[in-house]
Amino acid sequence: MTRVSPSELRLLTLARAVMGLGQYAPVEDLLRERHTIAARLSPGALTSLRDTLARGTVLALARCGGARRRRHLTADAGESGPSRLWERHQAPALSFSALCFHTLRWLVEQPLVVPGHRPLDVDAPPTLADELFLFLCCRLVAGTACAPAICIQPQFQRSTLCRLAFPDLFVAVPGSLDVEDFAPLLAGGGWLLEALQDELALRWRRLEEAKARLIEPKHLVDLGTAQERVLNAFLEAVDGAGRRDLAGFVLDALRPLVDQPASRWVSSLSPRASLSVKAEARRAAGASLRALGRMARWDAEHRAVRFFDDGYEAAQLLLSAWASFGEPGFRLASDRERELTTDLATPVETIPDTLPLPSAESAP
Amino acid sequence: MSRAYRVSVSESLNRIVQAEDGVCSKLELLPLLSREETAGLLAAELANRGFTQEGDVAVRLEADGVRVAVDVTTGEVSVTLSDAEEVELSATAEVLSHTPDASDATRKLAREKARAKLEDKSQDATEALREDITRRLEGRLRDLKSELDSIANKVTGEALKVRASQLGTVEEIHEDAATGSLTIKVRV
Repeated sequence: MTRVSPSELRLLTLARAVMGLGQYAPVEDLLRERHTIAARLSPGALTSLRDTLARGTVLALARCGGARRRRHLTADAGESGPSRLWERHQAPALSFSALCFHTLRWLVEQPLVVPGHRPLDVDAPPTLADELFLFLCCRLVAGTACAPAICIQPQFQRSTLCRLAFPDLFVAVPGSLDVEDFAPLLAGGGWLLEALQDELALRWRRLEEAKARLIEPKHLVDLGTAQERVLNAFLEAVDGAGRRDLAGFVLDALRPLVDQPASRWVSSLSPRASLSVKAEARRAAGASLRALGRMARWDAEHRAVRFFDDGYEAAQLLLSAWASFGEPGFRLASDRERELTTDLATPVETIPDTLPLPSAESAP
Repeated sequence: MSRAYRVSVSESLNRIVQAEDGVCSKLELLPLLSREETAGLLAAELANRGFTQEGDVAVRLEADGVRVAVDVTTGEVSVTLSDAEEVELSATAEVLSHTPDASDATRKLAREKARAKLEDKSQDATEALREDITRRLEGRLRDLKSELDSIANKVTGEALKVRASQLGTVEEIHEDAATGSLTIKVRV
């Protein structure tokens, strides 16, 4: 048995919650209150932390979708058969940098809900393992009182994966994302994005469902702008890298929503807001639907690839993978987006007495 | 023991507050003809419905002040309503003073507080006017939407007829006003 001090136990408890896709409630006190961590970890605690990160990474990747048998494009524009993440890719050599440890330590030491707490003070470019760690941190605190403290830290704002998965947390981040920002995520065969497909789909579906509960038009505009910013760069990046399959999570996220009326996206908008402001909010609400326009064009291109053309196998894989969405889905998405953007008299319902439940099909 | 005196200042303001609201949309016109031909058909249909042409934009100002503008080349529609209202506002502000004859600074402070209150009231009046405009516009949009749909259908129908005549000899045209269906027989 490894003996650790109480402060080290706190650090390890949080690390296990982050890496084990744990719930927020059991570690809420750790994040909300101020704690002290010794300057150096004991050898036993350090070994336990390394073990938690190593095993937790495998566990997180498997649980987020890596364990599911799925078909993906390969680097030579071919396709893999249905396989798990570790059957498609060799185990990459991952290393957590000082950013990971300092972030963990900062999360335990600083009371995140108290204004004026110390900012995260570490300046190290994130490795791919760090990106995963920061993503899992956001996953733990998303939608809680601790989230605002995390998303204002530059280290999180610089994480492309965090911004892709949680655009709602980074609405206030100035500047746009570039195609090059996604290069690290697409390196090594894009294994990290492959592993997180289900998780990304879940995040984006929740975002879309949350729009129906937004009352202030500005919040909807901010969210739509953030979504459009990240999705445009992401789609361009995966297209440029020949990995359109990695955008499949967007279809999974929107599949159960496109057959709902357009007014659903803006059903709680304040009836007191001006029409011009509401029109802007309605347009922003259709940000992810608008991005599907590009994927619809891709889908049409895939249909046009003949069996003797280059890239036939890849086109067939994508047609098959997107078949459940298909042309009717793209058409519906386009209709919904057009209704949101151009309909003069989209009825805005009054605020319901009880908030609408998320769709029954919450998990992709 | 010192006694506090209350300095009270009243200010009034007559102001014309203005507010406007509007929304943009686009007519769904199928690309059956060239842009210029479609624009011509649209302009003619809009003229029939009381719009006046101002360059590429057909405009109709309605009795209730709603301005409908349609760009005939792009099909973009903007519906706006603006209004103005004269308001008489008054506000009172109080400041505590330790001397019975308040100093200029105290009076100035009270006046500034009263003016700040007046500005708040003026903004409230503007917002109330804007909400009233929004309500009026929302009520009008439902009718307008159906009229714009009908304009788009009419122009599409006319464009189909022109296109059919370009393809060959039109032998028969059957229009069902109830369903909006249009059947054209063309000999090519």
